[in-house]
Amino acid sequence: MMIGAIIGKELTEIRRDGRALGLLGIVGLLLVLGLTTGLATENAREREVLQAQADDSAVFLEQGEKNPHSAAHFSRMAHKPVAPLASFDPGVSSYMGQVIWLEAHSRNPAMFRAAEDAPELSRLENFSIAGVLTLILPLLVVLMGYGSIAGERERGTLRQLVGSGASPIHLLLGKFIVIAGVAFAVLAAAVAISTSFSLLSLSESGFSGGDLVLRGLSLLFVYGLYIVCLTAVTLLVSMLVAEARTALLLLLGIWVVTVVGLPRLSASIAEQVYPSPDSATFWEDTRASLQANRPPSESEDYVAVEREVIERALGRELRVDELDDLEINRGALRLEVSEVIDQEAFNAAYAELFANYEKQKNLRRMLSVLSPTIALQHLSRAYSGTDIGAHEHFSLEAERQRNDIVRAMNEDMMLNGAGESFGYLSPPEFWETVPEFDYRPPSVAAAWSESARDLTILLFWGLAAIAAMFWFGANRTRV
Amino acid sequence: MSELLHARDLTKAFRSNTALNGLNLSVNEKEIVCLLGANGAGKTTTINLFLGFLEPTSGAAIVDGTEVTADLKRARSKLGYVPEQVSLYPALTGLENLDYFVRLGGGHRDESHLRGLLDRVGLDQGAADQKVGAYSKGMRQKIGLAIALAKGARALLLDEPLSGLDPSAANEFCRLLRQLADNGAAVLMATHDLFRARELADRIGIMKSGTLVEELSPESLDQAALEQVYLNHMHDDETVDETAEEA
Amino acid sequence: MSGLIREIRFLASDRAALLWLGIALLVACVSVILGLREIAAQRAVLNDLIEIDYAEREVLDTLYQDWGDVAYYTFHLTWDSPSDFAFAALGQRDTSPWKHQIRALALEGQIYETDAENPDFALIGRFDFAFAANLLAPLLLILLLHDLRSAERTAGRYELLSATAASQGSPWFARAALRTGALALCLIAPLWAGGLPGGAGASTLIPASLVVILHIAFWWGVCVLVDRYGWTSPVNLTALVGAWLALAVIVPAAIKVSIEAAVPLPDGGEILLTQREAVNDAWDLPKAATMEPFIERHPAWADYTEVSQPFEWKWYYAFQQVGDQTVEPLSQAYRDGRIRRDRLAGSLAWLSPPALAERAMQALADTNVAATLTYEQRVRAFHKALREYYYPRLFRGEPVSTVSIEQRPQFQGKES
Repeated sequence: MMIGAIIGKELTEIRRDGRALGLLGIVGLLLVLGLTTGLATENAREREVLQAQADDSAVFLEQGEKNPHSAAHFSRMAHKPVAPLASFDPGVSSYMGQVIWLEAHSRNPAMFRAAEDAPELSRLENFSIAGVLTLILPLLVVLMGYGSIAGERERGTLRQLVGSGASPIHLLLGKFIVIAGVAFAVLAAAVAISTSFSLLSLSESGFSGGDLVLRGLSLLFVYGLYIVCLTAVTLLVSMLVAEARTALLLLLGIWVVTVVGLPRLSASIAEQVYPSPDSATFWEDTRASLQANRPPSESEDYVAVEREVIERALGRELRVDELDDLEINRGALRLEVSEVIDQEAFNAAYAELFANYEKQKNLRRMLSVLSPTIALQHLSRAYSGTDIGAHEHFSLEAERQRNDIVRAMNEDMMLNGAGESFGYLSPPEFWETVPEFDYRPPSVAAAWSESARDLTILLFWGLAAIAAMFWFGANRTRV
Repeated sequence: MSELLHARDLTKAFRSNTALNGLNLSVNEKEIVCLLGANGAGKTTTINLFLGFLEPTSGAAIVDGTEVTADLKRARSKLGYVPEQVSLYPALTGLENLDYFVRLGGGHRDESHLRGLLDRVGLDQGAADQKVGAYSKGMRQKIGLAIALAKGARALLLDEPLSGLDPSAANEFCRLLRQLADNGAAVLMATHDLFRARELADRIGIMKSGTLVEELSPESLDQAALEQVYLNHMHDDETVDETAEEA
Repeated sequence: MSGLIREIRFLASDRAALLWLGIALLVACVSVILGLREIAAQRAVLNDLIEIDYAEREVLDTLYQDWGDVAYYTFHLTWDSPSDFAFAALGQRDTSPWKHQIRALALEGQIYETDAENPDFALIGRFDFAFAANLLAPLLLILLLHDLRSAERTAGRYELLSATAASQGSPWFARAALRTGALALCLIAPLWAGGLPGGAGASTLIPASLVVILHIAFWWGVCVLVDRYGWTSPVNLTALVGAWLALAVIVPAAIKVSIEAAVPLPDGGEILLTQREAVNDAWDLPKAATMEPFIERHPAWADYTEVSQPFEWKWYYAFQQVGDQTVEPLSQAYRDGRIRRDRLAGSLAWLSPPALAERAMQALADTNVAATLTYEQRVRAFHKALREYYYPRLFRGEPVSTVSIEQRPQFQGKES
């Protein structure tokens, strides 16, 4: 009843105040801009990916008679599909390679980062809906809320309201609902529109509509939590500070530090505490561990792998003495054995690389105690499917694919090319039997569990901010 | 005759400065009491203590038998308050403001009732639907009074409600107060307008430096006595203004 | 002079102003320290790599009897050392490569390799001095200057002050100048304190300071402009933050999107796929199909095109080169496109002072797109020199000798 009256009055004030409407209009405009640029970029990228995949497939299938190992050097490209909600939050997609060359002998890193050919202006211009929301939602909330308590105090209405029996808690709650509600309406519109656009353009990319909707809802939830934090902090400052203009000044100062400054600072600190290996060192180390990992060719370990490789190719167990007498292409056997042996070292090297990213992320998580924006960035990218976790999944699947297709080509040569050494040529129809890369991106559930800690931090922020707001509201409201 | 406002040894000290010192005062129903005094005499502090905006250092403020610090909500539900500046929301109309304040005080009145109230406090019907941004001070005071009336307050606290009103508006306002008192309200009004106090009040309390120095009946105040009161008590105290201490 | 002292006293008693100045100083110091550490780390990595690079080559040089093997197994580190001012504007050094290990094989497959740096951080951008000065400092200046007049107006002193002051603007001018100057000092002092011992000379620090001052002065102008309208402090503040959003975020974003639409680039994957196809096909094509296009570009070896064995090194290196030749038009278009994009960005950056200042600092620090492209050209030139060194030895079938190996080109790091 009382809350209803407060909400009604606040909304009437917003409706009759041209500035608030103007502000909402600007935010809406920015979101439309973010959406159109996001959709344009992502759609173009998606078309490129599909085209490149088709080209790659055609070239591979039509290579005619060829030595399979030569083909394994040429091999295939694994193209990373455009993430389901990249138009909402492109995340790291521009900064991570989009293509992995599934070459024999080597687990390659992804290549071609769109960022390299982007014109450099300041890095803040990475305009997306997520960017607009993280940067500008706080401003919207601050501008709607800085004077909500302090302004009433200045005008004297607060004193009168409290004098006539209104409870400060109710007043806070009503204002909270209105400010958070308006911000949430903006958010919901942004998420709904970009999710539905993504649903409409859902193509062969392997994402399901249901998953997309769940992702949209998850985004709504975490950005909603962000709004809760922002609104509570804004009202808290408005309540504790004597004048509205001081409240605004202080809130904008907090915005500059926590939204504009700290996310960047935390990244730079994390990079210095857990430096990423540079590629030269990475490859140096990987080459060294590959060498160390290779058993001598007559050793027990080596023979065991040899046996395993042959058994897998033949689909049956080998008799003890059969190994030496088999009619197989020994060159191909050596190739496949070295693939199997090297996989372990490659995977260990990449696992370490991704583990280091995770360490950096953990450090940022710790710093998100100072700024919920950092936790939100993690969550937003995870739920949009554009974070490093999603990339690691792709990288692992591509490696699995590489192992499969290289093995298929090695086995063809091994079983059908006995005695021909490297002169063996696979028939033109062989290439169709090499499996296509059918990448299934992880579902949102993977993102949920991967970013559970970020969610906990953001939840904690929301609860703490609300608790502080109500506690101070109940105990420290000055009239 | 029930005692609606009662101050019992009410004392409020701000650090070094005692703003109110052992005030004993009661206001009964159908009675108007004016507190007279210079700036800093303790009038506003008294009202703030009744409203619960301040907590007494010692003693008690009691509203219709309820001690303010014991049950703030209950005490406030019986109080109406009209400050020197009635602060309203400029984006809302007079009627909307009234409705909002009434609801926030926990009550609800239908529109015709609210319009009746505005009529009763003498606000033009046309003005009720205009945004209060354009209101004169007198019109705002009327809304303030209507808010107090709407919640059925039995005790009214008024802090310099007349300052800045033109003479006819002030006259009308006083007439309204008298009417309310006759209908059973207890009115405590802080003012430094001696002449209005003499016309309106049933009793006059003279305050100086936080102390109630004299209680007079208006009949006892002839021209000469008025002059004496003025010379003795109405020049500004050297003490710190309590509102400054609050902020 | 007494006026200045009075204003300094005013400033010293304004806790909010001191807070913003303190934040500016802190931010500048932290950014300089982080930048210096980052550059030190890059230098350390480079030093290690250069050492390893030499050591490895020494071992390899004694290992192989055949020039083909020597060329195949020998990596050459190329690098772009950070300039002494790079700490202040890390620029492209986080997204574009600044070192490659190059072999005499097809270059196009090697030159787009990138570092394993955390892409999250590339997305967020670095907390370097350029960020502090170009994006954060204007906001702090806005917080410092937004209510010079409006605060006095609110306090009711405006008329009195204006009437008392000798000329209309003077008290505000002195006050704003002091605050702007203090902010600039909070930024520039750490820059010099970090830059001078780090080796950056006055020849870069002075222009960089000038960029900071001009940029800050621009925002002062914006503040003055907004203050003219006589709005209240909150309205001023809102308008100024809006101006920041527009100039620092929205305009650059619009510029970026329109440039990317106006100057399309060949897909990077296309370059690699085409080159890979050319190289791979060569294995199965008649040898002449490789040697002809190779000789067209390298007529000096026309007499040595005879390939009698199924595998000969000279043929192998020829088809590597032909692979590069095939994608040359694409690669050139890619490069030209990047240059055009960068030029356009340079002209359009005049619409956004923060972007302009950022670009100016990157240019001073040699961390801009132009520097990246220069490095790429240096790698190409080195690769060319390397090939030209190997060709006579491969084609004439010379024996491997220490004397000959000593003549092999070495990549030279640029003078910094």
